[in-house]
Amino acid sequence: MKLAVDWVPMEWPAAWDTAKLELLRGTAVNCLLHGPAGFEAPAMEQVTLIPDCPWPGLPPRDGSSAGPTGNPWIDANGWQVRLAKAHDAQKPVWLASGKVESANYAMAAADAAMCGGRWVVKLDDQVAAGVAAGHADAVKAWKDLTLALGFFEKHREWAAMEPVAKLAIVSDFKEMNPGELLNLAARQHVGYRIVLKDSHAISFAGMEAVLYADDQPPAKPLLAAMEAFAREGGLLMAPRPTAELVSAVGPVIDTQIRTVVHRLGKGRLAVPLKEWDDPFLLASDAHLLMSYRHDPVRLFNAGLLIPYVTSGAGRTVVQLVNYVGNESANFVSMAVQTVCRAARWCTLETPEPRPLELHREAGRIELRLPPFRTYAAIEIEG
Amino acid sequence: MGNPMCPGRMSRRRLLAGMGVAAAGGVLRAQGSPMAPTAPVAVAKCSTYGPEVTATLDRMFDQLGGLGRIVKGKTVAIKVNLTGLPTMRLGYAPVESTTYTHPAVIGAAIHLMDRAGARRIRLVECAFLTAEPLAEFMLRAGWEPRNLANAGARVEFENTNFLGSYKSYARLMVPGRALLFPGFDFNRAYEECDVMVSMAKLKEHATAGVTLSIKNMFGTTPCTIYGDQAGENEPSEVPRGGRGRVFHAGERPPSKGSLPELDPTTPRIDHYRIPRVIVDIVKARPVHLAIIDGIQSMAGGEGAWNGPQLKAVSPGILVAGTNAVTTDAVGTALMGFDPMAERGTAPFELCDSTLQLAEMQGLGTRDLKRIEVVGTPIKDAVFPYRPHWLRPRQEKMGTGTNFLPREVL
Repeated sequence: MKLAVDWVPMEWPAAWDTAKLELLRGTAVNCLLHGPAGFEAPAMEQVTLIPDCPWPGLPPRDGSSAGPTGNPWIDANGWQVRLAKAHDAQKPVWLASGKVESANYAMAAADAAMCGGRWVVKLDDQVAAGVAAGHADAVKAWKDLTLALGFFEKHREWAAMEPVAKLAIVSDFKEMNPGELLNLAARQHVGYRIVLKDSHAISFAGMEAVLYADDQPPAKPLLAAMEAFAREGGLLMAPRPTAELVSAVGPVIDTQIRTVVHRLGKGRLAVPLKEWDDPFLLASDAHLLMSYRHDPVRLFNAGLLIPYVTSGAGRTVVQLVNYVGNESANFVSMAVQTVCRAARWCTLETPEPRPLELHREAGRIELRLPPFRTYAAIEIEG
Repeated sequence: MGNPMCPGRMSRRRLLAGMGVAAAGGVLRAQGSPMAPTAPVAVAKCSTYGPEVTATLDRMFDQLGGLGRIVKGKTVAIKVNLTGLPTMRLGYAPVESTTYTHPAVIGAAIHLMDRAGARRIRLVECAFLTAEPLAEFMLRAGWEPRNLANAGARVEFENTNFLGSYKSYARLMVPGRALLFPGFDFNRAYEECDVMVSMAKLKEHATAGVTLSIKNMFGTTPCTIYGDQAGENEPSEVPRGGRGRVFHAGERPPSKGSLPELDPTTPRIDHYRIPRVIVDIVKARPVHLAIIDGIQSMAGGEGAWNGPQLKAVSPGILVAGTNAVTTDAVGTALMGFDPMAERGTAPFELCDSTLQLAEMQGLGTRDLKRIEVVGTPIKDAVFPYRPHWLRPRQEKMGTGTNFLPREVL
């Protein structure tokens, strides 16, 4: 019996009989939900299951899909995986889709796997029937999916690496819609770390900025930790009720559109002029006040790509999900912010890593990414 | 040349005569080309953005009479061209290689101006769609703004797309007869400077034919007032959209409180409007020094959004002059076009010629016969842009409607 961390789940299609188990041979799928008679159901208490996740990608047009930037809204679930892991790092995180809205199952798998989760494979009834009947389109979708699942199982070590982040977002993630803030921060390519405010051991080591996102002030130990972080040179962003608890705040050193910034020891305290009510603007302001200088990577012609950057053991991994789901017509390039001696890249379509040429521009190294459909990963040797 | 000690340089009297046009705020000295003022233009070949940029610009400024005469003890505003999103590229090419004024040219100019005694140097630009600090905008392009800040003793950055570091806007009126707008409200950085430098990229332009030092000034107008979604009754707090509805299409006026255009019955066609808006802006905010980065650029348009005909090119040219019209006339010639061309002829197939309108407004001559080119002759540096297009422009060439007689009459 495999451990829960090894389970690769699938919702067994109602139309499939036991003979269709043969379809799973050679795939990564090893755990069935609502499986055929005789199959034992997994012990769900050993996993964190997030139900009714939106189907990743561009939502169907309903006249309200534009985001605050004017760019299309993207449904992405990486933040759900990260938040669940922040609550319980030991349990594997499973994302269960509410409604299957396209046959791009590989994107659903990539959307979950990029941040270390697993998508509970769920086939549309028509596709399930098509796979069973051997219809070419359905079989191809199934094959793409199983290749993707195998790819992510092969690279599970990426999920264990630490996110490259300079912004700590502190909250209990109950007051405000956490998805909005975390999702929109990721959309803006902000490298962030989730800090639950009831964590026992809070450290802001390595951070440039701390965003305290809750209206309710924190407990004294957390406030003291955040204040100490700022006094030592960091940036603390906090709403007014919390900022008013900070002692010996220095003079105003900067005023921006929505924020006033005070000196605080060697660092800064940023206080919003109005109550935070727009998570997009909050994520934008946090990003800007911290400075784009600290972005883990900088993408050009990125379109609807969302990156997730992790590091460990002397290397950095940049995973990219293309939420359009088609090969980009643009030429995506990436400026690397870290030491880069060599880079390799792979995609779901070309899973064997291939070297990427390093282009040295003035003061930076850039990588030129060939077009890819759904997912790509770049391994950077530092 | 005037100074026997410095072969190739111009005399102080001629330098000041040339500068006077712009510095005088566009006073109409002439209505037609024969009387439009002239000033020398320096042209140099420069094939890379390496150390040779500083040496080349230094030589060019000397050829124009010396930089100290222009900037010593002055607050200098350098309007760079950072049009479009900093993360939007033509292919894989860095945005400064095709679209933006290259930071190597900006840094070299800052260094030389600082050395020449400039009191304060301010980099100004309306950062596209944003009120974020200009240095942060540059970071998004992959630049290191600290390198620019360290190129001079006192270098500042101002995003002029909104109030920025000021409490109110500055109204600068168009002297004499305006073409469309009687005046504009700007970020005060454009009023506070003693010396206005337009530092452009050598590019074609989808609406205006070419975009050089004059067209570059279009980007001085804040989108809090002139933006597509600018506040109706008062300027919005942050920039809202581009300038398509107010300036290009004339669909809506600027925010109330700012001056509307003079005659709302004029054509609502961008090929008519934009050349005139540009000339009005340059009259309201004259340019004292024009610098054009043509080392690397793009052919076929001004930004990656223009379409599939675009191609990155390497003309290997720098151009500078104290009169924006004469400088742009030489720049246009270096791109392989006739600066005397009128509407219907490349590069003005679809639009009126901004150069012609500027000349008619007395800002400077576009007649190469009346412009002294110092340094590299045009024939030795010319880099025709059109052969580099990947495919020819698909639009009809000209519509049969000539807007210019209205001005002539």
